[in-house]
Amino acid sequence: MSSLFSDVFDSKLRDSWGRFLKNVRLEDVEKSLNKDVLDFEDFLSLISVTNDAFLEKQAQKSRDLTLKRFGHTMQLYAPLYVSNECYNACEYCSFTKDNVIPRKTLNASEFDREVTFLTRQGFQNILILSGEDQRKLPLSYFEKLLERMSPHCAYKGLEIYPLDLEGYIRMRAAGVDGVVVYQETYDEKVYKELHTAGPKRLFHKRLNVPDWIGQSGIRHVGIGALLGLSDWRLDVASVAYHAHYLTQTYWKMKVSISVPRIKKGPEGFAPQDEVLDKDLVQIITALRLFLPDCGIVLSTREPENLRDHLILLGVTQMSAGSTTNPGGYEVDPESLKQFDIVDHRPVENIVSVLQNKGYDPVWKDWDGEMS
Amino acid sequence: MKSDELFVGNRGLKSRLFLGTGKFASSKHMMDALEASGAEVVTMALRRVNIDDPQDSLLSVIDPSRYIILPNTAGARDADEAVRLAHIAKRSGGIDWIKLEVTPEINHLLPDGVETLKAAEKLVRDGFTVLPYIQADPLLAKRLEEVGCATVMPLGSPIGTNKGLKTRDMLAYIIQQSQIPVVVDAGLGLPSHAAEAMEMGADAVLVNTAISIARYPKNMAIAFSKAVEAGRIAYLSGRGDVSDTARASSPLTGFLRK
Repeated sequence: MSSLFSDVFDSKLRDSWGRFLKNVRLEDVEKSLNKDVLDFEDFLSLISVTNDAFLEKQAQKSRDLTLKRFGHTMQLYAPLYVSNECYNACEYCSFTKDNVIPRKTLNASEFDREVTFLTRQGFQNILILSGEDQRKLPLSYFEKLLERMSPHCAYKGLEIYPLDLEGYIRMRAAGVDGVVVYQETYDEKVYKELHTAGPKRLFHKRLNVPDWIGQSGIRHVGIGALLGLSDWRLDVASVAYHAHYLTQTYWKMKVSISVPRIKKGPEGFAPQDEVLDKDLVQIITALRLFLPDCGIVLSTREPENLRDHLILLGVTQMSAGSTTNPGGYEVDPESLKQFDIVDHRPVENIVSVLQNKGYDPVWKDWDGEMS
Repeated sequence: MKSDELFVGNRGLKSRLFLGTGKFASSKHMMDALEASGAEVVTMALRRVNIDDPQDSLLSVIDPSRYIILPNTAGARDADEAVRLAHIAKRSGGIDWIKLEVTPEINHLLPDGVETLKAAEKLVRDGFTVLPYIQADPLLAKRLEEVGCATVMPLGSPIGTNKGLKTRDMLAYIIQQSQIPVVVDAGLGLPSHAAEAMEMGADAVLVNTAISIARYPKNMAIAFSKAVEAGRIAYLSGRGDVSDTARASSPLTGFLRK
């Protein structure tokens, strides 16, 4: 009698959160913030427009709770783009199929060079990423890459086109420790406007992908919304609701949430909602208080100064020195990028920032032999 | 006071404080706390260390001739994963003491008793000295003793919560019944919690979060070390019962012996 996320989430539910958010009073925020265990309505109060006065208090609570649960540590990971081939048309993404530019897919030896580049810097947690094109990038391609990187990595992540249950069981057998799949936006109407061609058009199908990951027994799932595509409060609420559903349903699977903001995209695209720096602080700290053990991931999309401050507030995992194009580290630095990196500092700089703030950079948090 | 060594497996220990190495800001903070604590047993997560690499940032700072390294199987979701992790430690690091943790539940890292017992049986057969992390479940503790574990390590409250001895009554039953050392693990947030466990007759305690996230970890380590010692001495001194009614200090039947 297994249920799927699409059975418990729909636009009506999301609309009801919208009504709730409009009616949050300052005393509701204060009450929620004083609780040890927050329910979903408390979470909504914390992300409401009303909650401005208590942001500092919320940040302090979030920092204390993060220290208690994760200690003075920060996990470091590196994205490794292997291909920008894509059969989807997503208005906000440079990989969109309508973008007529040369495409690049790493071959095995190019992949090895990129892995070596990253492991020499200390990375043991590597996330393989690609555009979505199962015809040009069959599962056997990824199986080959996973086998090649296995001896050098403690943790192997995958962020590629969504698979079905059988596909994830196959990837688990190939040694995948975690899979990342973003819904992009949980606003069905906006989703359909932004995804005009390719298998990604199907909103509900994508909504249930983390269920297949959970059912496959893969250890870790990363979810997220591209904040700004639609009303950010409702998208953050949807991600939190999704994460909570996943931790209850697949109680052995670790869930992480990414909080990427989209500021610009290919020409002609403009995000619907602006997410300010203070909003991002509100989002991260509210997620921490609602989901104390959830991983919160911060990429190099964000600027240096902000990243340095967010380290203290609830983030548990960061990338550093990243590129977003296939071969971007060594093989082909000029290939098509998915989006622009903002924090360009090399990883050794990030390590010293962490250490200066009293955080121990964690390179290894699983064992490659166990995958 | 005569020697009060604690025997775990075949090793005699002077300190009854075990220290966990997670969550510290750096290896230096950890080492400062470790040295100040006087602890001899140090736990570390196998998933965090490169056990076969002498340059590993954690392993390289801990002198194995001074400390007993107790790797743990944190992250294992079932018996099979825990057994495999333990064998990695043995094969790569030559270490055969294992703190058995099977914690599939992500939110509170609560131990799975069924899988823990399965893994313990196998690891004891494979020649390990097994120290299992368990719920404060007196029957499970006896079952683990029967299969040959070196200790049991029941939790005071869930890992990292600093809530103290929320499982106090069940811990008391475990301590009463156990023929192997009882090491209270997890949830001890203050030195007074550690002292309380020792006063109850626990053989040792394991502390990590409370020390590693203190503003001054080294000083907190000293505080815990003193609390453990005080609690132990109090226990050995025959502490008085806690009672709701007043009791005369001259026993009522004293006249019979006059």
